[in-house]
Amino acid sequence: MKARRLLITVAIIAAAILAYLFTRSPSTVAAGKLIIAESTQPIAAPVYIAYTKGFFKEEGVNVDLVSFPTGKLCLDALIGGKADFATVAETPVMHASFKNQPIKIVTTMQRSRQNTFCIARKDQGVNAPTDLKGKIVAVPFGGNAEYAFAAFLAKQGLSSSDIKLINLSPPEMIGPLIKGDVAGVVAWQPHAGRCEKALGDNAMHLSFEQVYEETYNIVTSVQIAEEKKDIVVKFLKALDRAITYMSQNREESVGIVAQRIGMEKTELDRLWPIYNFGLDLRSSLVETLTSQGKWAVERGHQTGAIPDMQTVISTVALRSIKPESVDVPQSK
Amino acid sequence: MVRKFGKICAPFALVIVFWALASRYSGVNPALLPTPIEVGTALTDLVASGSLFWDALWSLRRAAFGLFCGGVLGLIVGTITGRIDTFNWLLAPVFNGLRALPPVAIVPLVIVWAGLGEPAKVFITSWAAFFPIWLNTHAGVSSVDKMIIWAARSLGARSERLLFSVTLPAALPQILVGFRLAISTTLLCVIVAEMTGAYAGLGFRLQTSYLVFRVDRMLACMVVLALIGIAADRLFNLVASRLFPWIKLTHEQQ
Repeated sequence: MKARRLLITVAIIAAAILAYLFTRSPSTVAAGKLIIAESTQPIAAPVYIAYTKGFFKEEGVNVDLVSFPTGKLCLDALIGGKADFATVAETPVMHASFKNQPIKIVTTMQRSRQNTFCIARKDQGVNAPTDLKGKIVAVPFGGNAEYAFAAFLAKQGLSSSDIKLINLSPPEMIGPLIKGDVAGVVAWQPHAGRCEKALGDNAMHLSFEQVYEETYNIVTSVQIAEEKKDIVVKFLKALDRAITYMSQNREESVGIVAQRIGMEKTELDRLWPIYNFGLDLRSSLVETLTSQGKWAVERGHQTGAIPDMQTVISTVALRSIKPESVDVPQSK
Repeated sequence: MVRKFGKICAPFALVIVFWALASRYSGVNPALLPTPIEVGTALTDLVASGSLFWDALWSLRRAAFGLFCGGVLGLIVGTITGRIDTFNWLLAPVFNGLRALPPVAIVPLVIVWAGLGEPAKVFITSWAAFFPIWLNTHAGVSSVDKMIIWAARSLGARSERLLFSVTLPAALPQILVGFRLAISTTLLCVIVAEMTGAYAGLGFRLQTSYLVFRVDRMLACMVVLALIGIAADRLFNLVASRLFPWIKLTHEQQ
């Protein structure tokens, strides 16, 4: 009898703890404060400029920025109900769409063909892309870098199975590359550039420009995208003003972003031209998401049918302020 | 027999029932807390693809190497610091400082120093195994009753005989506790070591599953890890009780 009572008590306490831990925290939108999960990268520059120059406030949205090391973690925060908007590349959104997550891309804010590339060691025999066959290459698994590398290899008549891929995050790559533990690394800026600089003349730069255009996006919940369209519109207007400001005040903008993400201003200034900031929603995004979905299934990262990627994009808000920048049909 | 089996299974059944109820009725996003059936399906898929078998094998291999290397070193150093005051005075503060370092903190350093190969992973698992074994051996050896040592000496035992016939057998219960603790810390650290810079292993699978939003696979890996942990502990108890039947290590006897 005593044991049963104890068991019931334990079960109730455990249920209460679990409910507390997992209950989705109420959106902060109602309280008039938006949480933006941002990934401390130069490609999120419009968010930093809009925040620092007060464009969000002027448009009537009160925001707080919460930093995360990666876009994937930003998306996790959004899905977990701890943020209202997230800055993230398209690949984590593609993975989440396989699990039918209630999220929507409301705009792309940056595009680049030069942000992610491969740096290989010439002294390990890599003087051309096909020389990578049989070599050890470090890549962050599951993300857009792995996808871009797979697309690059396919163009060279190779596949991921021809390479010995090792999972490593970009900040950790420089040591093993210098030591020669890996023949190459696939990373985004500024890490890829630092690896290239560290190798000097021994570095072989393998560009993915021909096969992949990276996008950096603003994602929100379905609830906010559909029920709080006015807020999304104000948010996007603030970002649009920030992008205009960045094009007119480059030096100051670079300084603001460099300070915000803890990067040398000269290093960011050198990288700045590779980023194409601008709000849009192009059908090429749907194509990229679909292509990544196919890759994810082939690679074994995902199982099941590839979702209709158009459904993860909400064009309503951007169409209302920049209709010329939207060519994705609005899905139901 | 049936009653014993029921007693073993009941806690796990309770966890599964509680988990199923939580994933269905707690209102948690189903992708973040998949049901036991979904995790079972993911587990079956991983087994069918063969990847789980190789991952588990890699992890076990790394853990076993680490346990062996860290264990032997911990046993030797623990015996020395437990017996010789000068070494204790010299080494114990350093080891006590080092054992407070979380394994996650040393992984990036080990990658920089030792590279990405197997030696780096074995170093991390050895690190994990060393401290509990060193600490327990040290405590066991240093707390051997002086009367027994004096008695052995008065009967003519020399230092080598004294060590192997008196000190270590007397410290054995505590040394075994150290090894038992080391099994769990080694399994923990092999996962940490494999999360970065690996081709295979349960930690690698766990991390890549996280990166591609497969919580079902993550939980499947955790289930396998838990089963390996339980099996390793049971196996250790079995072997220890066969080799040293006079030492009580089982749960019931504790």
